[in-house]
Amino acid sequence: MDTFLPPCESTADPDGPPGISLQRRQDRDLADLWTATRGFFVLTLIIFAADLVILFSLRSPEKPKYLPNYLVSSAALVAACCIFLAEKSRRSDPDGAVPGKFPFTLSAEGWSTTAVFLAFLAFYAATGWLDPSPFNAHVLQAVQFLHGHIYLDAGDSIEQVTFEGHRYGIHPPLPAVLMMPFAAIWGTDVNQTIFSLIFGTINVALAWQLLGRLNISVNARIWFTIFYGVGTTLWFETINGGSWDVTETVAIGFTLAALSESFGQARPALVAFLAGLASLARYDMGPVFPVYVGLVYLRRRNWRELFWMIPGFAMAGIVFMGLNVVRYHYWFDIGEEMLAEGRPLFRLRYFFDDFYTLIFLPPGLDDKFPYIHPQGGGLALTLLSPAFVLALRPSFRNPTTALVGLGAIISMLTSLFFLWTGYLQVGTRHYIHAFPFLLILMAFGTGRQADQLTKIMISVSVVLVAFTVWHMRMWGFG
Amino acid sequence: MDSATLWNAAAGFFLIAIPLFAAKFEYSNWSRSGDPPNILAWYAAIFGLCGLPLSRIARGEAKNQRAGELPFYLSAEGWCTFAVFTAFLALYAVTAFHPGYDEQVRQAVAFLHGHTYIQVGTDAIEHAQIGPYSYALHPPMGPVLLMPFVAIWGYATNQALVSVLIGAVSMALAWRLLYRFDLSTNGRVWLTIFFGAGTTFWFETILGNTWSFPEVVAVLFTLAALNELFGQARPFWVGTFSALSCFARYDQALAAPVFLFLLWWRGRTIRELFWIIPPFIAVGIAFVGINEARFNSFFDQGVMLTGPKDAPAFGLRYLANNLYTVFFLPPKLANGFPYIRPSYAGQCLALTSPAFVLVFRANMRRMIPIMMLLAAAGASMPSLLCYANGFAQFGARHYVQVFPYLLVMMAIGMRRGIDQMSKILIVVSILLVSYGAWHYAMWNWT
Repeated sequence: MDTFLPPCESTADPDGPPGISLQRRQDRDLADLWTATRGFFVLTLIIFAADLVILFSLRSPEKPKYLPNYLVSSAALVAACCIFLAEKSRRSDPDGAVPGKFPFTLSAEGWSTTAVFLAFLAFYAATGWLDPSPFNAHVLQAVQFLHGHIYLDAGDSIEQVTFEGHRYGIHPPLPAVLMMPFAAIWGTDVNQTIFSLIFGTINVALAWQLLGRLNISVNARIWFTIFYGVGTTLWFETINGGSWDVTETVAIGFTLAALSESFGQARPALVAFLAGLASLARYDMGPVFPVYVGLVYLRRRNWRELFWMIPGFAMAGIVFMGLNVVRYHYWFDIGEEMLAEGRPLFRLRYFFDDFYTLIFLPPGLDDKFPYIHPQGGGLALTLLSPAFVLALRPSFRNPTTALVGLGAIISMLTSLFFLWTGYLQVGTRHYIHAFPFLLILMAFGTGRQADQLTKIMISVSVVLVAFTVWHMRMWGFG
Repeated sequence: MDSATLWNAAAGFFLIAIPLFAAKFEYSNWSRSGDPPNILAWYAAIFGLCGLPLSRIARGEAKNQRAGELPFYLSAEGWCTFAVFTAFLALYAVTAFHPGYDEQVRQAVAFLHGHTYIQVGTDAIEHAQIGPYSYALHPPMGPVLLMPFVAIWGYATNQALVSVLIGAVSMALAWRLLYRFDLSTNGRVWLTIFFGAGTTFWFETILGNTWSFPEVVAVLFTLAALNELFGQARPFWVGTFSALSCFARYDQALAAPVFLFLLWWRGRTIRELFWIIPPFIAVGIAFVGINEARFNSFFDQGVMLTGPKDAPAFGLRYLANNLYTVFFLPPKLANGFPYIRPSYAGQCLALTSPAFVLVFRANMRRMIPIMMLLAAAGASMPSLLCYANGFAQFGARHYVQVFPYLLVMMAIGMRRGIDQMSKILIVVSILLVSYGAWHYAMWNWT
């Protein structure tokens, strides 16, 4: 039995107001969920309208275009249709289950996830740029995979290392693998930025799903989802879509999926498979495997079932080692090591630089508007997304909380001793894959309802990240 | 209030003083170059050693309903307040820095000699020069408090030690203030320790120099005013303490309307509120009198005379820099040990006392938190618009005088118990501030 889910047979509500039964609270949550769904669909339309107004007011002879880009427009169009379909679905099945009569039916949960996806797709597409990133290592790698080899041999704009006459990319392989279907159609013309944008939007929808599996109200779920999508540097990583950003975005996606499964049905094979995929997007996620084992054990309390996790983890290991043996005739990825030109990749000495980046690194200050500017070195987590402090709220005596906290720490650990701090970056790029764990801790600590402290901290984070994204769009780094 | 936990807290605070003194004593013996414990540290140790058994006896007598017969009768609350004073006297005395710039001592000497100009030594820096006379730049309340000490020791008065004494009294007042709110003893202990060791109030107290002293004095009177406001709420006393606080840091005048409003909110009639006026008039007369004598002006011209020559001393143009100081200014990263060093320019509030984030727990729909926030914002405003951000400093010195308002908000938001996040944030704050104090003691600003 999960510690954070009330027992189904009980009618008592341990977390709700006194006198309200669990059934009544579930009814209320369902009604709130439908309201939230409608809200997110309407928000998509509002974003479209706002984008239209802004582009129209900014049009000039040099830039006559004033219609929102096709992603914003598509999201708005689909949202407009979904409002009616979701309403019809709600009326035909007020309990939120799938009745089977209506052709486009989804559960309340499904509709709300769709609504979150569309709202954030419109938002990211409206605040981002759809021009292809010049740093498209994953696209080039995907094309090379399709041609049956691993080396890149691309232009100098891409970080790569030379080994035995061939040049190899240094990023983990999963993003390139995911892009292969698109590369098969469009070759090197695949727009990596759009891939990032869509994958980042899926991340927010996955975060919404994950939060739905924790015992928090719909209102708190909305606050945390907004924080995750707009109050963290994930927003910038998603719309930037460079080689380094996509690696993070993909790693987060699979981490969220793995955690969502861990707090859902907790099928060991699937959890391990998703966690394995996450580690193939960011190697730092490999050491987190034991945390997933612990989480699944806490949910299922059955040692035997845990053996089903072995294939997923083994798959990640085999792909990782196979790829490296083919490239470097060595089990481990030595790409970064070659790039470091003799300097050790990990040292205790680097801790201070990395820790400083994570906790203390400030924005720049000068006498030019807007006076405070994001710097290429990054911006400390404490100063960009202060709402993460709420991750300290839940009791770490609870084994589930302790495991999730451990997951966050382990996933950060390698970056804390790494040669490079992550620059050029907005925020602290190297620690983004720990965000899903921190998000869960925040949700655990909230006690169903988002209180005033939560709302203020999330609002401050959103303002800080919005300022940073606005600055980057207007002037780049300060 | 749970009396057993209160007695335990008192014992705990008395106990803290003893190892602190012993550690300092041993360290000075061991290092040979280190200073021996100063006189206040000895007093703290004696208070601790005597207070521990005496409070134990008083506790036993209180159980038998005979406490009133004791010659050293104090309630549990009284003993605890004294224990808090002792503990922080020990902490501040054993960590106190060497006396440095002592403008307030010079001003006190001047007052005692019947004039306002000060004698400027080679190290007194910062003063307004008008003709042959040098005038101090800081408000006069600090020197007024120093006058009895200066009457005895003259220029040899150790300003830093007086600052330590005032800091310890302030901590006793902070403890008393927290009693006014619905907090458990445990919550009170955590918040008191946070205020005394998790904020730069600690650093300012043990520094006790020209720039720190006004802050420490302002905090003392602000805490006294808040104690009265949330206690008996007598307008005359609230007015007296609040006015004296303004006389220590002029920015506090912008928080005075909040005191007036809250007195009314707490049930005082308009007629009673008039009692707040005499203290403010008295302080106002002293303020104008001193300025007339020094600058032939109603207002203190010190900052204007010594500030930037081709720009105003206060202006919106300085807001970005000051906001940056309060919210973003980090320590420095260095190549040598200990790698992360406090910056000469200061550190933002979030990176010295992150536990202040707990102020947002207080319900902002309620009047008292709103008013405390207004008081904090009002008293910060002049510093936010000032040309100087407070350097050289550890933390953000110009905002220390608003910490008591934030403490009240934290207490209101705590709702009796203290949770894990609060404890972690308080511990982190203490580590950050003690790191800053240790670094300054070892390497100064380098």
